Amino acid sequence: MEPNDELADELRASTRKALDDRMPTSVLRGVIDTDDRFDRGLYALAADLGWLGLTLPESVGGVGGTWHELAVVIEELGRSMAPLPVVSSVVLGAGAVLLAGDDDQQQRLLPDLAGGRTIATAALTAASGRPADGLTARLERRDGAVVLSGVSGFVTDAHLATWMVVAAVDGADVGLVVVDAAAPGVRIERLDTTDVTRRLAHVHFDGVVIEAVDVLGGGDNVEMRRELLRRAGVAIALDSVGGLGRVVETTVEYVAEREQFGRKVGSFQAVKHHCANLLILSETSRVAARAAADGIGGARWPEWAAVASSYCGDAYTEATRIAVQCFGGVGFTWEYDIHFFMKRARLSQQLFGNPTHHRQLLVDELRFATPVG
Amino acid sequence: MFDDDADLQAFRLRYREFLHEFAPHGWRAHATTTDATLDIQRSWLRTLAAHGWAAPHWPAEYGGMDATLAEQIVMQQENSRAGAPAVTMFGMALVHAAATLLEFGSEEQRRRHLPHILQGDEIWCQGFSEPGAGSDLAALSTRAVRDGDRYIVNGQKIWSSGADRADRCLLLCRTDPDVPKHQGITFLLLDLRSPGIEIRPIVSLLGSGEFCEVFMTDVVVPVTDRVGEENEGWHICQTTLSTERGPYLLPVVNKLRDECAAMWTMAEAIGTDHAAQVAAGFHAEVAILSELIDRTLLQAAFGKSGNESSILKVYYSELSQRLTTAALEMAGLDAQLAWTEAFDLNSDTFDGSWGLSHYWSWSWTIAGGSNEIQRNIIGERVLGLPREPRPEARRS
Amino acid sequence: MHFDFSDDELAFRKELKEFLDGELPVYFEFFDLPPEERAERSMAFVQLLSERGWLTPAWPVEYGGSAQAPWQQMILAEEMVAHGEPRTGQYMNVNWIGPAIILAGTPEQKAYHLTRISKGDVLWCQGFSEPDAGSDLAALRTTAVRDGDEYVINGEKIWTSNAGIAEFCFLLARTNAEGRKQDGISIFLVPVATPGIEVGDIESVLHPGAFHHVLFTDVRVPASCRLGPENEGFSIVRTLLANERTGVARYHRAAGYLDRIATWCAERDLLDDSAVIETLASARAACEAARLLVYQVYDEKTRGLDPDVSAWAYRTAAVRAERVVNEAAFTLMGAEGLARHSFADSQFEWAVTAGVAGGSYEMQLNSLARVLLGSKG
Repeated sequence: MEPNDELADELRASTRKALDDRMPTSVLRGVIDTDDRFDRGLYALAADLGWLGLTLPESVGGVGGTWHELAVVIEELGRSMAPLPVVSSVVLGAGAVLLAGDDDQQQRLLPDLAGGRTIATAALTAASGRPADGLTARLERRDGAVVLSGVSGFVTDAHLATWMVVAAVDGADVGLVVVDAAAPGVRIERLDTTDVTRRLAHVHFDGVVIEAVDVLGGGDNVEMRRELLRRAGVAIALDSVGGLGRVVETTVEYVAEREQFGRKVGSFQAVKHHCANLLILSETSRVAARAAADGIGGARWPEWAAVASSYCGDAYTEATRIAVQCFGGVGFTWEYDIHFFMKRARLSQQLFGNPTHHRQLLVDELRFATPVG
Repeated sequence: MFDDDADLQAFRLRYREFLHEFAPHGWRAHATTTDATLDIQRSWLRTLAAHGWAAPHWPAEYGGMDATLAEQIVMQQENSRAGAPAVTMFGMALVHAAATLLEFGSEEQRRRHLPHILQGDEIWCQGFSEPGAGSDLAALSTRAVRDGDRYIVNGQKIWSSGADRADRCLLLCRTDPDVPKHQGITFLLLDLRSPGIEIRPIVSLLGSGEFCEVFMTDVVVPVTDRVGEENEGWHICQTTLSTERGPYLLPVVNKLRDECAAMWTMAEAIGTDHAAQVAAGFHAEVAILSELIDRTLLQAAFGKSGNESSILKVYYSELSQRLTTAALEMAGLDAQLAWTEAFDLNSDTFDGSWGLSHYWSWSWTIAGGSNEIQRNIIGERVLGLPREPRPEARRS
Repeated sequence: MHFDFSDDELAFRKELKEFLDGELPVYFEFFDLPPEERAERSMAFVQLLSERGWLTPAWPVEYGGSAQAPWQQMILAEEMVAHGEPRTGQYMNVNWIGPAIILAGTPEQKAYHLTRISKGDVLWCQGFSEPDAGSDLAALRTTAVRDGDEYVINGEKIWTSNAGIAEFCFLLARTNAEGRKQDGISIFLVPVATPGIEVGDIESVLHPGAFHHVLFTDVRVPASCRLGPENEGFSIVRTLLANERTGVARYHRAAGYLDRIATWCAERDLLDDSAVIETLASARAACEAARLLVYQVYDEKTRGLDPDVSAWAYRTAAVRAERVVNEAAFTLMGAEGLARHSFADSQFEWAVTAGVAGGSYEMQLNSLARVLLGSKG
């Protein structure tokens, strides 16, 4: 943790500028009305700006950066709510191949991903979308071939993906396989969620044949899946931190302008205290998510991942609830933007495990590791 | 999440060695009364002073170490690790009085007081709040009237922690009642042995006398005991108050961490997922608090504007309240038994009484500017929201 | 205060329930219907209620009511909301627009409007809020200027539920710009079809057609449309709102909804998880707290006491109940609750307006504090 973090500050400024230019909410409103909820041009720009290759090694076309920089980009994406599959591609898809793939697999899949030519995601949960539930996709051996059947639930950006990493029951183990989204037997059922800034899908597999080169892992696959979910949780926490910052700003702007009873409503103590609470939620979430991102791979990483995921999910939803309260009636008009954040927060709170789930993970960490303190 | 560099690591080891050699053991068993605790702390402060460790944050020329924030934090961490006594009863002297004198005091005042403070010979208390001036501190009405080279002081102060054992008091008085309330306040150094002073402990909800009332009737204070210029006390007292942030919060986090561990033990004994998840949730929040403090300290160290102390204060005080509330629920009737007599409210460890921790947590949400005031500060100074329209500035 | 319902009351509830179960499908939500269909079905349904004397039971007999005791009304309110509130906007007609006309109407107004409302063949909307008059209702700027035997109305109203399908609007407009802002407001009973009235949709996060804005441009209405004396509209409204602060029995709806969540959890074998039980139980406690507070209000009304404090306390408790149940839905149902039109989603639509619409939570707390602190506040 560096107090003068000029590189990160520069990255933040340039990322924010690009997203402010290309994805203000006026543009976002158009994009989310389309079935794909995707801006291909902006994704190409994301590749040009290096967001996709930030944490990938140079050997596969990345820049070999750390999560410290990736965190900045994810926060800014959360702030703008830009519907770009960066977390899906980089954290989930590429993350899985880097963790569980061999050199050949990495060389085959990642350069195109870093260049924005392909999009990836990972299907890590059961039909319910809950990480703790038993997987509902399974691998079978038929006539010497590996075949994938069943369903993965609530997969992010599956409708855009060229390929995805699927976690499936494999006998007593968990299998991790790369699946071509266009392969025969793959059906992507797009979901209509209350959050309109993202697109999720149930992915159905009906006897999808998996080539040997597409089988990942071979080590502790259960732990690899767990690690991917941990990273996904922290990515969502960072996204929430970006959203929280914007929620504080727009709410403060509104209450500083709106007048009732001959005064700015922001001068009423009840409203002012709501705003102070917003800032506290935002600041505490920020330190939690950044500490987690900076600590990835370190001794306390699993613990911090659970801390950030559990805390930020609750904080973001609570903050949007307060914010809508401060906006009053206009807060639930489609015209104002605040409801987009409210619904995004709601989905984020549940994706890749809800706060209770993450607190349970923290319990497991604390039990397993040294006592608290 | 500091990583020590080589210098800091050397510093840490040096202090650790000192503690290993000199820090008292088994002192907690003897700290059975306030007076006994005072003796233990005074003796430890003198040992620290003898080896140059008593006031790390002071400039070297007054017996300090010019220590960086990181070094101060390291010392706090090592104190906890070694279980050394915290010199809490001298905190107002070492921290608040010193900060005020170092920034606004005259050279003569510094030379007069700082050496005594360092040696544990002067205990200080704070005389700011009054019955009619709590959250609205600037409404204070204790009068100081100039009479040649002295002031004659009349009035009443309240919530002065430790005044009954203190030698001196940081005193705010009204010297000009005819100007807006913030502009007529003067900062004096009051000798509590002066004639005309009566000190009465207030029995708190804990049944003990942490706070005192101080009554002043025609008390004489020499003009040489004024800090800064006449009528500039408001500005000066902001410095005194702002020193409450900083590394001095670290013991608070230690205590919360200790409480978390105790709660965890209880939750495991209860044995339900829910209890464990609740404990884990608090563990997460204490970790976040600790991180938030580190970051705030770093910002202060690198000159980035803070104003975050209000955020910190609201967060930790309410966290403490929520945590102890949940703990009382888990602990059941056992925690309803009265605590034993001896306790050090400023201890950086959990002393086993959830009741004590719980009831004392209200001192954090009320004292030092209530959380309502802190939220106003966050709203107005940090977020730039308009101020509440106030009735015409009045002086009481 | 007692907690038991009398045999008569229990019998009434049973009869009502059987009738509603027979007429309406399980978990039917009137508010999920498109506005026109909703109006049509609701209108047909309230006529059935009217035939049975269940539409305006509290009204005096002379105006088409049956002067029923407050407890009967409360049972009615609970059962209606438990069945998707088939009266839709009509509860407003019945609960306070009608009573306002009883209080301040001319004989002609009473004869015409009360007959229609009690028969259930008319739908009203309420023209109160404006873009710059929300919490601060008395700041409204829509004007009604006297011109001979007519008033000429100009201005804009927002958040007007049902304006697209209503026949009449209960409108607040300024008739005097001088003096205290509360003292220059009058009530008008305006046919929505009057030339110069334009109704538009506000696109909201709720179902389509939930809210409208209504523009008044040189709308001419006869002076006989005015309800009560000129410039005394605000105090009439205040008196009525003070009598009718319990509104829709939303806590009962929330409790029924919570039962469905519990069933959902039971189907998934989640009920042996202590965290799930805690969540369900504390949400249920919030609903029951609101219910007991509203019972207290009815008890005080029955005994001729002023239910000021309990009524405000109830309203804040009801907001809390809806929020806590909503939270429980999201916590327990996870991502499945976020699918559009899932039942968690429909609860979200209710909960999101709780504590904003019809007086914000903060304003409710202010009102409660004012009653408690009196002149000291």
